[in-house]
Amino acid sequence: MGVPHAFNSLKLKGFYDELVSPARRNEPVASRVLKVLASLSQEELDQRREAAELAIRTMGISFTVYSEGSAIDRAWPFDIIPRVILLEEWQRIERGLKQRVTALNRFIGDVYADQQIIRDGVFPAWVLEKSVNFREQCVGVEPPFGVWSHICGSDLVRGRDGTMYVLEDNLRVPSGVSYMLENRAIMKRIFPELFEHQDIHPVGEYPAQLHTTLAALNPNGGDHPTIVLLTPGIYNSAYFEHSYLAQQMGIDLVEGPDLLVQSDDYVYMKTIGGLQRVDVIYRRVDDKFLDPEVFNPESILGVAGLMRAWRAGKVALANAPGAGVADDKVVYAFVPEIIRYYLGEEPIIPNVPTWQCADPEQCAYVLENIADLVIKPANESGGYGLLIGPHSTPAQRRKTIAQVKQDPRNWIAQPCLNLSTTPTLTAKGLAPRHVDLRPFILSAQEQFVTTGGLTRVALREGSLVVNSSQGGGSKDTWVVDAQSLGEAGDSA
Amino acid sequence: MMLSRIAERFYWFGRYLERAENTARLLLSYSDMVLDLPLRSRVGWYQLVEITGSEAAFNKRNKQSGETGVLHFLIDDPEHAGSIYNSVKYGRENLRTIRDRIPREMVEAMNELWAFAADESSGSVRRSAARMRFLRGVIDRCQTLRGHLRGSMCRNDAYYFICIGRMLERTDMTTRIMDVRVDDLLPDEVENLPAFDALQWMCVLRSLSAYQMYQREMHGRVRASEVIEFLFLSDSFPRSVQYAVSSARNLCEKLPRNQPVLAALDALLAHVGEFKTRALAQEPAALRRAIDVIQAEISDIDSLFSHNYFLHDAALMQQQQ
Repeated sequence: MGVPHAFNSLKLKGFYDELVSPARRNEPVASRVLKVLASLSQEELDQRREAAELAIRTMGISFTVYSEGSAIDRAWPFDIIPRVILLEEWQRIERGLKQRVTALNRFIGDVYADQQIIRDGVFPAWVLEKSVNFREQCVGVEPPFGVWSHICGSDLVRGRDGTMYVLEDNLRVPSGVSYMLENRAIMKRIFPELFEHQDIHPVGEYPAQLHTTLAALNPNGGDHPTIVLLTPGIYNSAYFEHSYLAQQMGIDLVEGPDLLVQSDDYVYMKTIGGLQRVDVIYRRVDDKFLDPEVFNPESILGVAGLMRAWRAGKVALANAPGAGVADDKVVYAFVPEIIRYYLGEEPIIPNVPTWQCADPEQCAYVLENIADLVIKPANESGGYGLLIGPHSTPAQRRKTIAQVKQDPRNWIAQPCLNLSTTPTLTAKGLAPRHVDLRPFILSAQEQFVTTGGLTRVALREGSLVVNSSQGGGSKDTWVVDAQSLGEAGDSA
Repeated sequence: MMLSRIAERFYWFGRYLERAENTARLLLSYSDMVLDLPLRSRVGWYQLVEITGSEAAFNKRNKQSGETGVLHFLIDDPEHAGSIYNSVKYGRENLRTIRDRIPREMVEAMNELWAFAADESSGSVRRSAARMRFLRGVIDRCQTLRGHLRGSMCRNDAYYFICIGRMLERTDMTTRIMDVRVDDLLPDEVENLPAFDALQWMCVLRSLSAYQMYQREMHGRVRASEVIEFLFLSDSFPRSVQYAVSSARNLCEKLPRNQPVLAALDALLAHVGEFKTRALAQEPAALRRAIDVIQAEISDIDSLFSHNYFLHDAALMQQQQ
């Protein structure tokens, strides 16, 4: 079969393309996708795009950007060209993610217990002293299965040589999985022909796996624990996802004022039938707002006494408070060591090389080469406070240099990765745009990894920032078994 | 068991939807009546502010109580909680967090109503033709929503809370309208209304969409005593106090922990049943007092209902004691 002419124009010089670059192995899948796309005129492609936009609107997909004031819904930009990952590569990534999260959970448990890793000189004590996510209220707690981060979202990026790296781990309240699920539903609706002759692995088991994970944490016995999802409410950026997941799992979506902790240390929710005991809480509220008795006393998002109930083992919280201690860009740099220390294994997925400004030598290097590096504060997410050296102005660099000098331990730097691209539909037809990938890893008595994950795409030409809050969109992510495709024969 | 907070959203969704529609009906019939009155008649638009019980809010911010001032206040004023604009807006906001439990057609119809109210309300204040169109548009859209509700929603707690909210709101509006009209009543007018007063009582009927039904049931000319009797005691007209309260009572029977609410509703029904319009008719002051008593009772039932089901912290403290 011939490769459609579009192949070459889709590859951006100096970058790895997800669909086009691994030409030999990927060819059957890529040519099939491109063949369907090539058979459509720009007008037809636009029609499909419009159909997708309409589907998004009617499905009510939206996300919130804090700065948008009263207009709290905005359609989540969706690109109709799928991002393809081959099954054999995915299986390796899946193993790597399970390995990583297992080690991180061991680390968190150790940090809140004997801190053996510090005594053994593998991990420096100052990182913890400095950590804004270390919670002394968690010391001595032993959550079920030794798991603290039950739901983890790790961000993966691919460099120019095709190597997949972990860019960061979101161990607190990662979001985005609902978009992964809805993106697939939209694709099946608007491009059914792409699914017809290919073995694209389904993604829809996630809500059931999440429910299984949460139910396993039930501390109170009984076959039907009351599980709830605690949301900060309708003005939260991920409210759509909270409501979607609660609905998919058939559990109640609650807000802080719906719950209360009584003197027996159990958590109850207020219902029209009176108070009902709650066994497991999937909380999508940050630690600091979780319990006004212990953390921010001003918080109206949390539940007074919740930490007391959790410490007493009367309710399970997922993720556990304090899990964020390992969700810190300084800790990140130590993850390969953490894996070796707890598991005695080599990391399957590498870290992006990282300079720590806490080290004077590395800091000097960072400040000297700031125009070529990406500089990140240790405890921010969503791309806030980030400086991308090559795209920055001298004034922005001066500001970041001053911040780094003032508090070097709070900063790390990484090389500016040539983030891989994948064909994306633009006003001028298909063009390469940069992507990352956020798979989700569930851990309790067993582990699950999403099939693929959420692919985020920087929709602006040349942009490397994929965050939805800063002009990013998303794509459906396919894990494809290319071998079964060959076996099925290619009659088309 | 349904979360109290969610139940409260359903309840208020029902109330706001009914309030938007009732306010539109009231303004429509009033605008219609004004066309029949001589130019220098004594009717004042301010009466609408009195009916909706919002004198304080109105007086605080408005100097002129003429047509434009009152209509702006009741139709499109974003600062007035009871304007049609805000009733629709709050109705939609209550729906946002419960939309996963409501038929999709209803959510779409609610969005459509909101888009209509947001786009058309302000243009309808000054021009009467546009106003009539707008008010009819609001009523039609509320009815569409109600059609979807009745036709495609399961009879479950969510449905009951919406309908109870609607019935209590309706009772509130019906008694308010009568309360204000009865205020002007002189003893001999109860049986023999002057011509323009008859028009105003017809307006009362129309504002509750009761004119045609009244004519069929009561056969004949409009008498204050019979209008009051019809609107209080009819057990077949769906906007009468008797009908709305007994509907609310029957719906409450399906809810858990309903004893205190049922007892209060039964007491109210008993009082409404004892309401002897004709006997009171010769003595308007007594009639007014009787209406006031019933209004106070309705307001107490609303508090009791909220207290019982919505479990605000104050309610919980008491429950635990």
